[in-house]
Amino acid sequence: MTGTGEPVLVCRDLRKQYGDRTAVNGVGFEIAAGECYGLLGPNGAGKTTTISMLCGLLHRDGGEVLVDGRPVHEGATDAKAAIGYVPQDIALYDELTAADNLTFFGRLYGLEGAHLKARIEFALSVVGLADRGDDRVGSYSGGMKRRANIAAGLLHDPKLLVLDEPTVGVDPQSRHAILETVAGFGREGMAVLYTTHYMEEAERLCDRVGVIDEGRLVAEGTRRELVAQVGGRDRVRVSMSGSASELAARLRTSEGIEQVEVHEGGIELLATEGRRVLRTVVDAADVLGVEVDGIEVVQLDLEAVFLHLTGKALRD
Amino acid sequence: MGTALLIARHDLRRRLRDRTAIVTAFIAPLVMASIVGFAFGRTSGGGYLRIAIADEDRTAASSGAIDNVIASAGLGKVFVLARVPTEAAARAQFTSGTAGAAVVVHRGFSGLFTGQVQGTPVLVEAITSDRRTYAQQVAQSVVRGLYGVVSSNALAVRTAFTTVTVTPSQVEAVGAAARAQPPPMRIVDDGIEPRKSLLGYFGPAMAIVFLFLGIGAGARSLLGERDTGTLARLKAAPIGMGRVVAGKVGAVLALAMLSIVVVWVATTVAFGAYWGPALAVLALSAATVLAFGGIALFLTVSSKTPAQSDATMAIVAFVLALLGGNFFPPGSLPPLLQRLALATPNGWALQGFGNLALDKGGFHDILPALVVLLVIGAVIGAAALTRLRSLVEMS
Repeated sequence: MTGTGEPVLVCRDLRKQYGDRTAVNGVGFEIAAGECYGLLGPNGAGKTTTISMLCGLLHRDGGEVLVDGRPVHEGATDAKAAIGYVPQDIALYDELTAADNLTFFGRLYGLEGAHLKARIEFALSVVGLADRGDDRVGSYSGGMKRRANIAAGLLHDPKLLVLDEPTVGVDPQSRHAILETVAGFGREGMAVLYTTHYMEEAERLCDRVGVIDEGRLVAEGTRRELVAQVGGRDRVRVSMSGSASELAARLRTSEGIEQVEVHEGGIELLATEGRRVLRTVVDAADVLGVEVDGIEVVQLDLEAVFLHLTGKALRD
Repeated sequence: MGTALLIARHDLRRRLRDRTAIVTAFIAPLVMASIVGFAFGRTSGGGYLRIAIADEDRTAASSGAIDNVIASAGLGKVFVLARVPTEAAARAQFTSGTAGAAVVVHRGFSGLFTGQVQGTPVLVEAITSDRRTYAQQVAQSVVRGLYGVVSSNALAVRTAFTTVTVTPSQVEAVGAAARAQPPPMRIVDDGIEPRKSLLGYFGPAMAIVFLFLGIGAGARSLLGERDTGTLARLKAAPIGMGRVVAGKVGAVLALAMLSIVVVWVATTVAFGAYWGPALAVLALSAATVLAFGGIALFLTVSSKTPAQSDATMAIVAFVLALLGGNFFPPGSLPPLLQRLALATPNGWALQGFGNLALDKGGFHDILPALVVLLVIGAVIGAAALTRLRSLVEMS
């Protein structure tokens, strides 16, 4: 999914201080309609504080937030109506059914009657709980609760959907279902802000990623842009049964290949874009009569980017 | 306003699905009120305190005086004066505990009416024990009542015959007419059984104890929403925080009010309890709910953890209940504790409910209690709401 048109969310220079501790320090980014923006950072980096300010849950000490062109603050009902918020906790009443929960939250957003009923059915079907709407949330599995939690955020058809670590503590199957669901929102034209400390989720879902650490946005862009920012290169591993030195010598002069190393059983290339040199490698092997057993492109991932930018691992 | 009502309705619905809340708000106060009310109501076969009275004078004058005091037994909704045939029977009932105290009208009592008593013999005797202080006070009141009949009678006779010569039959006729007049301590009998009035007192007394615990649980569940995240979802919705707080607190107070009303209706319908005039009972109940709502909310939002809140609420509830006299019959506390009771909100509330149920008072009789309770509710409630709003905004 890719964003189009005017930004749905604009935030600039967000600041939040708790006593002597600076929780958020000058964070700013934009999200366009249909774009999924990932806020990536370890626990305690300032992700939840940032989105709490974006959603008007928390008073900010500085900065500006506009959603759908309207300023957001604690009492900004117009702007809040355009935001769908999915908190990290399962923010549902266990003793009520999913449908009853959604009815209550829907009414808080002004939905009534047949329209409310239709939205509840839609939201439950989107998250795959259409046949379990009349069951108490307390009887759900962890993954189902997470999905019901997302349904409550979707109910009023928001322009911006904010999901705060929606896959924490769920099984792989439920995680896959949640990621598929979220990917669908972008295709529907919704702007999505997705916070996570799972690098693979950000890589899979997000058009752009903001890397946040100790309250600061230390880098922002597409995965490739981020990799480029840190001077990253893809590694291409070629395994073969014949002589590697001849192939290595030929590839060293090829465009897009910066470095070639010979190892036992093959060679390893350092390339600006690994996939683009695959044809070059295959053609060179054909010319030299070298039989290639396999080629693997190892891209520099966001985990490595994060490590490079902050000096620490994402899951620290 | 609509959103606050929506939140309040939603919270009430959730609370009514919680069995603990049902037990605390309705079942426990009903059971306790019934047990305590019946316990005191059955002790003496109708009133909760029985005083045995024996007439050893056996004259028309003594019998008339006793009848007069029994008919007016004013204090009367909380004790029963029961005639027994002899002094020995009265003493036996006192000894066995069937009667809390005994009063004996000795031979020669009627002489007091005609001034024919020589010296200062004991003509009315109260048999009591220091360990039964309340019964002792009541027995002394009965004795004073009997002498009150004598005094009013003698005054009537003296007034009638100051300047004329009369015959003994004329003196007896005027004396009989005077004895028929009520004594100075007369309180009108309204025909409501003592036990029903007592239930009307212990009903609210027990409801107040559990009301406090119930409000505390409600306030705690509100803070629980902060931990579960539903409060964050409410804050994210396009509604003002004032409405969220108003809805949440409104639900807690509404359940508390409902709790009192259910205990009131149930004790009235099931046991024939008399709490007082409906409007006055509702007003006093509402003021009590506001006062206790303010205190419970303040204690809850001042606690750091749910466990601390639970412990604080339980301690404060039972200390207030003991000091305020929720577990004791009206007027049975020593004078110092009776004064101390008025330092507690439940002491004031019980005084108001006592005025309505036992003294058969009306709205004007509970005005002091209403004012005190409303002031407590307003002052402590405002502090609690300020703190609550701050907690909600920071969560």
